[in-house]
Amino acid sequence: MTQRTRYFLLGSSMVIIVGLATGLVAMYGGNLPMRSTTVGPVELAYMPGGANAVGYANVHEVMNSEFRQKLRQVFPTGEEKNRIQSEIGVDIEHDIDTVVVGFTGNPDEKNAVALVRGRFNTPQIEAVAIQHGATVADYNGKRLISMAGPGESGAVAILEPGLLALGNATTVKAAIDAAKSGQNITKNTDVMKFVSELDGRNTAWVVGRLEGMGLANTGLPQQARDQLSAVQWFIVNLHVDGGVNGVARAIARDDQAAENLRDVVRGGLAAAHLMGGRDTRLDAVVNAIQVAGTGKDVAVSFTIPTEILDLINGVAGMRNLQQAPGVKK
Amino acid sequence: MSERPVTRPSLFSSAMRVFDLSLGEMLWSRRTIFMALVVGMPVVISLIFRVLHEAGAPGLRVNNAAASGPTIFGLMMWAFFVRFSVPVLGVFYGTALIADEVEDKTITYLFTRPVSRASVLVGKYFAYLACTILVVLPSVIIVWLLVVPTTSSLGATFPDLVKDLGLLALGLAVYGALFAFIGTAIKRPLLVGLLYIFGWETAVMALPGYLKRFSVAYYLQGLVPHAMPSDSAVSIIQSIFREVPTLTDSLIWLAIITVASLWFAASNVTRREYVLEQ
Repeated sequence: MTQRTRYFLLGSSMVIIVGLATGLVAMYGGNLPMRSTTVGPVELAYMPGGANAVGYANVHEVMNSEFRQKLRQVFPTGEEKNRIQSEIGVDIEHDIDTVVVGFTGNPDEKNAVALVRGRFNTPQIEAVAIQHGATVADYNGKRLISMAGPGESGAVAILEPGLLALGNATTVKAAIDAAKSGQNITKNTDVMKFVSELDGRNTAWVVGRLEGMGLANTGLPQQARDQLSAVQWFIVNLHVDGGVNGVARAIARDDQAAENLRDVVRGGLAAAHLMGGRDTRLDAVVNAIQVAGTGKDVAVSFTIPTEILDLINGVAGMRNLQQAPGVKK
Repeated sequence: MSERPVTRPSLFSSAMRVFDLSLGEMLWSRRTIFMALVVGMPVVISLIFRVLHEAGAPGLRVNNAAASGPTIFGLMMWAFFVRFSVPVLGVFYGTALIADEVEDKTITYLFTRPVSRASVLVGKYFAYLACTILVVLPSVIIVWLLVVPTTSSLGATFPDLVKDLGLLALGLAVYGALFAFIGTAIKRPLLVGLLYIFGWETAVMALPGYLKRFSVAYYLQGLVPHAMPSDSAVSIIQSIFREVPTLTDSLIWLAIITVASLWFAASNVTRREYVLEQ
C-alpha cells in the first residue's frame, strides 16, 4: 500500500470517526456549537416535563398574513376585539407575537397552559382582574393573578416582561415550577426529538403523544378510535401565507399499524376524489394531499388554497349575519 | 538439507494480499474521478444550502411546506445515495473487478501466483468495499453536519444517521457482490448492470405484485429511515405500491444475495478459461 493510499484511508476514517463522535456527543451531551438555532421556542422552559402535547403559533405572522385577510370573518374583529382591548389593554392584532400551549392530560382547558408572548400593560391587566374579584399574590417570585370563582378558576402569571402564562391555578403554578426546577419539557427527549425535526420557519406546529390523552372520552366514533389507538405520536406543522400548507405526521405503534393507517388515508383520499370530482375547488385540495412515510412514520402533506379560505370566510360571514341581533331566523 | 514443503496460503491471507495490491490501484484510477463527482455533488449542494441558510435566505420548500434540515437530509439520502450513488458505484466497480484485469491483459499475472482464483475475486471485492465505503460514508457525514443543524439538533437525528451509514455500507456490499457476479458471468456486464438498476429495479418498484422481491432495491429501501420522496411521477407510483419488508426479511435476503453472488462469482472465475485477445 502506498503512502498516499494510507493517507487517504486515514483521512476518510478520521472524517467518519469525527462525525460519529460528534453525533454521540450531541445525542448524550445536548447542544453543540455548530447548531445555528435552539430547539423550539424559549417558552418551552416553562412547559412542564410531563406535558402530553405542546403546540406553538406565531400569532403575529398569522395576523399579518394574507390568510388572515381571507378569514377576517372568522377572527374576532369589531366589537369583540375592542372589548378585549378596552378591558385588559391587549390588542390581539398587534400586541401578541407568539403563543405556546401545552396539555398535561386530556386536551381540554382544565389541563392546558398557554404562554403568550407580546406587549402587555401588566398593571392594567392586574387592575382589571382585581376589579373582577381576582386576587394577586407572589408565587415562586412571579406575580400570580387568581380569578375568583367556584372550583378550579382561571389564573394568569406574569412570567417575564412580555410573557404571560394563562390557565388555571394548578397549570400556571406547574409552569412556574417547571422553569424554576428545570424539570421542563426540554428534558423530555421523546417530545424534543420531534420538536427538533420541525422547521424553525413554521407558522404553527403541534407535537403530542396520543397515548394517555383519553381517547375514550373524546366522543369519536369507535372505528376512528380504533385507528387512532395505533398512533403513538402526532406532529403537525403549518406554514401560513396566502393559503395554508403543512404536514401531518403520525408515528404508529409498529410498521403494520402504520401501513394500515396509510391505507385508511389513501382510501379516504380515493373517496374524496370521487366526491370532489364535481367541485374543482375541493378537487384541488384533495389533489394537494400526499401520503408518504416509511416504517412507523405516516406523513400527509396538504395545501389549503386561497379559494377554499374564501369559501370558509363566506360561510362564517353568513353565520355571523344570521346570529346578528334583529335578523329573523 | 531437507526441502521445505510448499504450503498454499489460505483463502483469507491470499485475499488480503490481493486487497493490499488492488486498493491503491482502485483508489487512484480514473474511475475515482467519477466516484468523486457522484459523492461530491451532494456535499457541494449542502454547502451551498448551508451558506444560503446562514445568509438568511428563505428555506427550501417540499410539497409546498417549509422543509426542515432532517427532511432535506432525508431527501438527499434517497435521491443522491440510496437511489443513485450506491447502485451506480456497485455497477461501475463490481462489474470491473475482473473485467478490468482481462481488458488490461494483466489477469494472467494474478492467476499465475500461488493463490486460488477465488481469493483474487474476494480480495478485489474487499478492496472495492473499502474504496467505496471510505468515500461514500464521509460524504454522507459531511452532508449531515452541514444540513441537519440548520433547523434541528444533531443528537436527535444521530440514530437515523447510524442507520443510514449502515444501510449504505450494506447496499454497497450487496450491489458490489451482485455486479461482481454479473461481471464474471456475461460479456457486457456494465450495460446489463445499468439496465438492471435504471430499468428493472425502477420498473418493478413501481408495479404492484411480487416482482419487486426480485430486486435489491426492495430490501434495501425498506431499511431507509426517511420518508420516501414523491418528487416525480415514478416516485409517486412507487410510494403507492410500496411494500416494506420486515427488518429481518431485508437483512436475511440481502445477506443471501451477497453470499450467493460472491460464491457464484468466485465459482465462475475459478472455472472460466480466460482467452486474452491480442
